[in-house]
Amino acid sequence: MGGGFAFGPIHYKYPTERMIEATELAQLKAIVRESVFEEDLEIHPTDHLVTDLGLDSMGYVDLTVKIELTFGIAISDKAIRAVATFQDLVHLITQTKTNG
Amino acid sequence: MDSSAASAPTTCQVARKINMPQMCIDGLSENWLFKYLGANHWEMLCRGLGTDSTHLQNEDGERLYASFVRIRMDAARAICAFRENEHITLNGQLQRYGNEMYFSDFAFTSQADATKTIQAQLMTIFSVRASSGNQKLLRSEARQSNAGITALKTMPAFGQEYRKIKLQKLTSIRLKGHEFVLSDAVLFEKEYRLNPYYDVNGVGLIYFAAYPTISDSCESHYFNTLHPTGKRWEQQYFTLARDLLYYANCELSDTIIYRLNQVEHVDADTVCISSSLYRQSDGALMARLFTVKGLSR
Repeated sequence: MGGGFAFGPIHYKYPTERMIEATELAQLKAIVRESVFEEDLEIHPTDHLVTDLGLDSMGYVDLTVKIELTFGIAISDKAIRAVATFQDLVHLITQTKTNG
Repeated sequence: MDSSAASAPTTCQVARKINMPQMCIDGLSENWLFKYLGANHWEMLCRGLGTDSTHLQNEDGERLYASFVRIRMDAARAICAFRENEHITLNGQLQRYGNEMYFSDFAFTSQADATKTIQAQLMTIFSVRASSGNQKLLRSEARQSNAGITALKTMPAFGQEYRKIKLQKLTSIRLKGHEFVLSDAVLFEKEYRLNPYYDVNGVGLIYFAAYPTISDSCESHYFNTLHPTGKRWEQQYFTLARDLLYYANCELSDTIIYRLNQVEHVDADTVCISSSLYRQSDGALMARLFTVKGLSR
């Protein structure tokens, strides 16, 4: 697992970081932190939502509602259950936004 | 008989008379009250989803069951204040958070005496059986549209607290003005053999309403042993408030281990009791119960 995200015109450490705006990424991290009740949690792209970040089954519900309200998208139960890592989550949001 | 005057599918207004089936030991039966609240929660849920309980399924066509996650009741007076032939009204409403969590609020009030009132909150999720047994229930969601049920924008504190306790981010809760610190201390332990004729619901699971009864049964054994003479514990102390956090079910062949975690006599009339239930087979925590009981004079 790496350090923090590097945004800007230079290099992207992970390809998924390019899929979402920096402000949205910050919002998403804040949502994950709220969903696990950890304000200062460091989040890395490859972090597993359950094993690394401590999300429980009800946390997935909380996460889904918050993402839907924040990003104005609808996420299916099956799709969110398939998400394992933080970068999977970024990917899901990007795809959902793209596909409408 | 209930008479209903609900104005919307996810509200209820029911009037009925308290009689022997609703009573035990000189007053209202808490076991019946839990079943009654649970049934009305369930009915509002089914009305909101536009189906009946037997047809509730997830996207894969699996039968869904309502799993109670947390129930809290707070009575203005001990439940023994409700007497035979008393007419009561139950008002309730149901809301949802996301597609999986359902929250109801109820007021159970005497029609003749408004000081006899019980406020209750219930929280359920849907689950499916992972196998034929009861030990593993998996979270799921209904394929039926829940658009008719008001959606909450934030998870109610009632649900947040449950999650925080489960994740060990919260170490105490308040009930009726009393603080309960979560404890795994064991003051007393007792095995409870399930009674399938009483503890099990219509789909073969331990009924959520059985949990407090199991706890009370074991708790009374402890207090009656401590004070073997005079009035029995069950005839002296009645529930004023209860907060019950559910974690697991169990097989009918299993045995439940009751643990009394804390007892605090906060004044001459009031006692706060923390207890927990475990599966004997694997030691899994099934529920935590926080109870305030009052002395009946």
